[in-house]
Amino acid sequence: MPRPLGITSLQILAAVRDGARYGLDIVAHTGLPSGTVYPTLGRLKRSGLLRPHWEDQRVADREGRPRRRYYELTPSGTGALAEGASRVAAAAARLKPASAG
Amino acid sequence: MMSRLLLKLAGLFVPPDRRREWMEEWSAELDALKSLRSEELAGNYPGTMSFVSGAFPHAIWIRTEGWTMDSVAQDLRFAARVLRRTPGFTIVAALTLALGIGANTGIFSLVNGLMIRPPAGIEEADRLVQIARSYDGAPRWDNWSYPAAELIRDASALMSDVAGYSNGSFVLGQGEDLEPVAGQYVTGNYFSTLGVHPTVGRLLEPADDRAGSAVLPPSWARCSRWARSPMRSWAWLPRGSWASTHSAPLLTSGSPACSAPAPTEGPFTTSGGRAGSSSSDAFRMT
Repeated sequence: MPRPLGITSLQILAAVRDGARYGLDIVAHTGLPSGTVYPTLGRLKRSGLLRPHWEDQRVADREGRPRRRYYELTPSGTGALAEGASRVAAAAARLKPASAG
Repeated sequence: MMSRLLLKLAGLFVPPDRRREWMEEWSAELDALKSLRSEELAGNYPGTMSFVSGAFPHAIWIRTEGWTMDSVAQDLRFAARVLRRTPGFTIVAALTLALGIGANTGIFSLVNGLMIRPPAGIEEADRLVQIARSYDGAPRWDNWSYPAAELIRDASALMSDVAGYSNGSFVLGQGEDLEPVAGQYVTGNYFSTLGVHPTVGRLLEPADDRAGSAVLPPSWARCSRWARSPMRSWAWLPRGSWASTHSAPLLTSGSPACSAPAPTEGPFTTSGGRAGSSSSDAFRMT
């Protein structure tokens, strides 16, 4: 049974779901350091939760910059994010202080 | 320029078959970051150097990504076979490593014993600080006068206690059997501040720090014969009057006497204070 995803992985999956497409964008979106984001992207790719693809060279040429490597959620990634989000929400609910009285 | 150099350096960790692709991705990211900066859209984006530093953990992660116990064991077996085939090289390499590691361990043990690890018998050495002052164009450490040291002790709300010491020279022995020794004048609370307890007899106490006492402030000389006699063999037994003789006879457990000249009003280092939970700008503490 695979280990449940940690907060960092969930943050990155959520950033990709919300429109962050490449590494720098995800760094800015999550506020995580680049040294954390890129290895995590690699792990998520290896687990099949993210799918990387290279931008079309013609698009990059037209904009006068190197082509970027974009990431998108796979169906497994979408499912893992939903499962992780509900797990974290349940844990957060348990952490709330009991109401007085 | 610097960021590109760091990127190339980090790229050395990436396996050659994946280096080109890795470099292409990071170059594109760096280019995007620079264009954002030039358009003043930086917002939440990190600084260039901070961003590029992340290339190192990424590169190392890629390098170790494919490692398994099997592959590591296979590499070790291969290394062992190669070393067996070249025994001369293996012996020289092993000896070089042994000498290098041994020398480093020896030097570290020496430095640790002499400079890093606190001396045995000091209580809560991690809370002990030295108070001194420094200013531009002067020696790094400057001492306090004895009255100033007293003032610091009485005014300090941050320290559980403040003690002082000053280096001095003493004559050890009786009659014609005399020898010069290096020692220190210390305040009466010096040993209690350090948390040092005598094996025999008693040490100086704050009560000794007053005029008319068996010893005169700023107290006793601490006669040290570190080279030949462990500190625990010494006990401090006051005898006679410093005021009348201008010397401070000290007896040790072995009974040699130690005569100290009268203390001067010279420099006094305030030391041995135990810091509380916070520090103050009022003193320089290290």
